[in-house]
Amino acid sequence: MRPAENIEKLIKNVNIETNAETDQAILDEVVKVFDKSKKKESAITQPSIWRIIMRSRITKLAAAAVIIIAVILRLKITGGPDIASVTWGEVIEKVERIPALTFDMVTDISYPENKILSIQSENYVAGDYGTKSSLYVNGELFAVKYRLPNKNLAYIIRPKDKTYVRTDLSDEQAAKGQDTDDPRTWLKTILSGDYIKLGHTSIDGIEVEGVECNRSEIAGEGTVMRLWVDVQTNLPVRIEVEGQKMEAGERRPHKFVMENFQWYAEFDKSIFEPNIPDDYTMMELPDRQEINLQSKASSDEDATEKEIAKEAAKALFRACAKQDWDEVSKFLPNTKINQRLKNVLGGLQTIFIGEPFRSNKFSGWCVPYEIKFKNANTQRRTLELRKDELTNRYIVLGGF
Amino acid sequence: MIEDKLLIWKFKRGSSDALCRIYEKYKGNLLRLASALLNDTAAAEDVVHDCFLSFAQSSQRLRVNGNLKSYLAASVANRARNWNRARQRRATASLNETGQIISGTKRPEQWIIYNEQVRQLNNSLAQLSYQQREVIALHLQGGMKFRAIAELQGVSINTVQSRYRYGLDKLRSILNSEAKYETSREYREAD
Repeated sequence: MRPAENIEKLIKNVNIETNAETDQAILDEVVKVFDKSKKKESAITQPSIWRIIMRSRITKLAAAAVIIIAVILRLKITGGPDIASVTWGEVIEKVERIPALTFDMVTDISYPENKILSIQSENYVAGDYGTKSSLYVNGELFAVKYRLPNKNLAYIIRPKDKTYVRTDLSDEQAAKGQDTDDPRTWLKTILSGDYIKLGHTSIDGIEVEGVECNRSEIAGEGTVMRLWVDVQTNLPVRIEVEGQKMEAGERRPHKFVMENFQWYAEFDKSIFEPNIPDDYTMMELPDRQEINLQSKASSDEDATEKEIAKEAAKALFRACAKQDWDEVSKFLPNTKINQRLKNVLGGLQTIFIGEPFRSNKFSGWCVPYEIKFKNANTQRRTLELRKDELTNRYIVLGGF
Repeated sequence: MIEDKLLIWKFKRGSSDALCRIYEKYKGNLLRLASALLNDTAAAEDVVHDCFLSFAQSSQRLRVNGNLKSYLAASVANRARNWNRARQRRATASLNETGQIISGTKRPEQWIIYNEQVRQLNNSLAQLSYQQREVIALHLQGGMKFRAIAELQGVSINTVQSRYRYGLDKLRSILNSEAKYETSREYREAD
């Protein structure tokens, strides 16, 4: 490429060619989708009335006159065309005044090999009492959570195990605006800073306007939050939060959607009474001494895991050297080992494998290495390995 | 510009010809933009494909406030950003180089045919921060004004202008160092 004196011109004028066959196939698909959406629209509308008007010259002129008058009147009254939009400033104010609400929530936690744990919940929120959430997995109730700020208490009850955990909330924890089970907490977080407008769309037949933001300082790096609000009522219709969450010591992709809101719900306040049966066992939270013992045990465990991670790195490069692609694919479950990749990796030599270490940026093991490819090029990087809980073996998530 | 207004008008009234014309007019532009933002052929193709499918479905509720090119460019940028986030979430960012080896292979259904110049430019753009790359690509390839980019990125116009300026400076030095390397290699080969 020539020296970049006129870089703007270079970027502007660069051209991409396209494959004519794929081009045509995609255009055909786009037109098909367009025709389908037109049919759907025309099934909803009634073009016959329009046709009747347009058939006669007099009705046509009369209709045009009526439209012009209506437009003039509308402009006079409202000062412009009426495009319903959300008044964002009113949204928080409005929901804050609502005494009780219900909503549904779906939480998806991603695990390796595209496995997703999906948790559905029914949620009740009442300003004077707190929140109650019934959590289901595969349609089976596995936990009921209560958060009762007025009593400075929280409970998690597991009916299947007949156990429960009781937590005392400090005044700070019980303070208003701290409850992540209350959609208003998320609403305020989203609207508390800069956001990008996502425009209008329709959710379950309701016209909504959306905004999107990142609040990495509050919810962690890479978190994306979206809020969709009914343009007619200024009430939220859906809240989506996507990010990473610590789950059993691992950071996992995590997404939840709050929807089906009933903003002025009426329900019996007795539902906020946990009423734990007598035969349920209270689970104690580990005390400080126990935590210290656990951390010693986990540091011994860590040393073993460190060695296993190093062995895994060695085994991967050995498999590449021997061109044992079945073995290689076990380390790279998300990568298709095609011929080109085989040509690159086959017969490589391991020059150096360093001591595995932990990093703030990655929750598994980082293993420094240097390898030499068949074409004599060398690669010096850090392999990112994490144990796959399902197969109980280390897989490569980066650095290769 | 007037042609675009007419095309949108016709498209909203159900004209497939208008849709075909919009597709022909902007597909190259959008593919170029998506590949600059993602530096991944297959992902860029998917993003533009999705963008056109969604555009085709939106004829009744379509509201283009600025020009059509910017509207489509913003749509591609949003999708590219989502794709990038999903890639980060999958935590396989470092495996992309392996991915590039794979996507470098010509697939039978491949849509984009790269030339060396585009490939090199995209590789250089990929060394910038995503925000800088997005500003440069949207302004120069998507034809978007700084004000519109500022709105899309949710930052001030001054931030966008500095991202553009610093991004171009960095890109210039990357391309210049590549050019020096190429020249010295040619000399070595000639010896």
